[in-house]
Amino acid sequence: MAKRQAPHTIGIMGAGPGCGATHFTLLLANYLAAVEWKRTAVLEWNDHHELKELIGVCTGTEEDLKPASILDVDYFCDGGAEELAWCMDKEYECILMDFGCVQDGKKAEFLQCSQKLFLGAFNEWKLRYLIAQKDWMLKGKGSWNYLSVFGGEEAKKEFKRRFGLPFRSVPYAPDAFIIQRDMAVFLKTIWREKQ
Amino acid sequence: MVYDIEDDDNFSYLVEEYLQGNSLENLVSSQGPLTRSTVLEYAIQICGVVNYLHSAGTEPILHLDLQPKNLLICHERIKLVDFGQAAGLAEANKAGQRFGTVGFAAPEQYDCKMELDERTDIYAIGGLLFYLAAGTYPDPKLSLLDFGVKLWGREGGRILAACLEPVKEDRYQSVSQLQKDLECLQKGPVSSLTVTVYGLESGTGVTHISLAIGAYLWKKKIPNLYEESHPCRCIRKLADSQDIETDDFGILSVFGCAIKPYYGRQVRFLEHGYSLIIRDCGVWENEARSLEESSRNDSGEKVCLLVAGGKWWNQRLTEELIQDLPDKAIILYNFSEPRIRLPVPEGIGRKQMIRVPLFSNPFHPDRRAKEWLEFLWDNIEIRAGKQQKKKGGWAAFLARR
Repeated sequence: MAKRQAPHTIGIMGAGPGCGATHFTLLLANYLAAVEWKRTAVLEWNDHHELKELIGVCTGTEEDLKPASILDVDYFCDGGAEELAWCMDKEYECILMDFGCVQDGKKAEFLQCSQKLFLGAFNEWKLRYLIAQKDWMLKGKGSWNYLSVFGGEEAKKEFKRRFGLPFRSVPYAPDAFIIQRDMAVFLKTIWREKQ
Repeated sequence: MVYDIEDDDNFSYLVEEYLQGNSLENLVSSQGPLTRSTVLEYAIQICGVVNYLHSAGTEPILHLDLQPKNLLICHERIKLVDFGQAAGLAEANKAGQRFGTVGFAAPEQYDCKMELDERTDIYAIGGLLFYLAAGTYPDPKLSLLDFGVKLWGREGGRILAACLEPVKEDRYQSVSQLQKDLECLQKGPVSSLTVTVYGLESGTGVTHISLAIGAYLWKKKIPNLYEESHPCRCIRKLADSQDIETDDFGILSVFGCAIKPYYGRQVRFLEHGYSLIIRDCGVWENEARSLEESSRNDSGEKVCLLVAGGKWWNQRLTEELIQDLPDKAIILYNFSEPRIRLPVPEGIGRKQMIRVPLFSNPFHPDRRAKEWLEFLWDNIEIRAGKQQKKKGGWAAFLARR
């Protein structure tokens, strides 16, 4: 009997609140399910409870569904080690873990993921989060993906010049459940890097 | 589409839509004259684009350089490029030099004293019609009416001649009228067609046969799209094995065929313009059955192919299933031994049963498979009402003997 391949784990974390980590997690999950046709699970591994609200809106129920399936992606609210172990035993090919932001204290779990995606915001009022985390972020240089949804290109260039960390801009996508061509092309580069 | 305009101290930049496709000039150079249906389809789209230019603003915008190099085909969608000569009506008629392309430029473009207007672009559309159908630039010595009649009948000749009249007042007065007439001409044996292919059970060769039909049609210069409409990974594996990427439409080009893998509902790629679709629907199950019934009211013709296995252990066609099939269904028996008589199911009625010959490569079938594909396509067209029934035929392929 052929040995089943272990699922690929992707950790997503933001430098601070409001960096777009959850939105990006949903985009990536929908891309993997709809374009790459991978069996995908999303674990909300933080205390923000945003997925619970999302699931309530999409399914029309407040029942604690574990998992809740929306457009071929399985979502686990209040996810943790137990949910991860359960998912590893099922036939998922990708497991995405939304660790919220660095301040939520899930650094160790983030570092254990096969692929690590770190989101930063370059708005002037959020830069302090990035600068505060730069030493820790430097640990991932060469292996993490540094991404940014918000902020100008000049700020990113300056950050790269000073600290040597290049942040890639995520294309604009207001709806996390719609994958358009430019977003698909961008997410494909992220996905291909894991191979 | 122009997305943005930027400039710096040294240069100005135009950020445009990236277009992946072939120009009409390259297409005709490589393939020769196009089929009637393709010419009409493209001409109607060209009219749509030009009509937009003429009517979008407060004054018409004239392109003034409609020619095969400036028209690209991106998955059967026409894209117009090079607006170097384009101008509003007033601007276009200001004194100064005029430019155009020989064969497509109207007589008034050669004379600065004559006025340019929308009918100037209509002349160019006529030139394009001729070029796509004949493979050469319009010949002034040729009777355009006679040429058009030979190609498309009396009405087609009239349309062609009316576009290329030397005197503006004798031409079509608006692109919209030309477009309407072309659409009427198109409503003949040519319109949209969807061939849905199902399997009675998995492993009967639905994907193989669907790809083979698509590849056969491309070799016949009939553009079509193979669409994987059930969630399996066959096409993705095919793409990975050939190291091929999808384009902006989410479509792959494999051995000269246009192939679209299955995508989830979240995906919003560009709309393609194919009017002929070969849809691989996987196994005929309850869900498929209700989908087929609900799509019966959709516009365009539909023909259903049901692929059954021809071995002793394959699932048999029941009378109940036969009744569920649409009237225009054809039953294909795959992996069957020609010397073994296949059981004729109860209630088969007038539905046709055809044996599929064994062939390994859907993109490069052998001689016998090509004959079979031609036979199958003829029967599909007959069922779709696009062809008269032929006498005789390949009795060897008929399963009911």
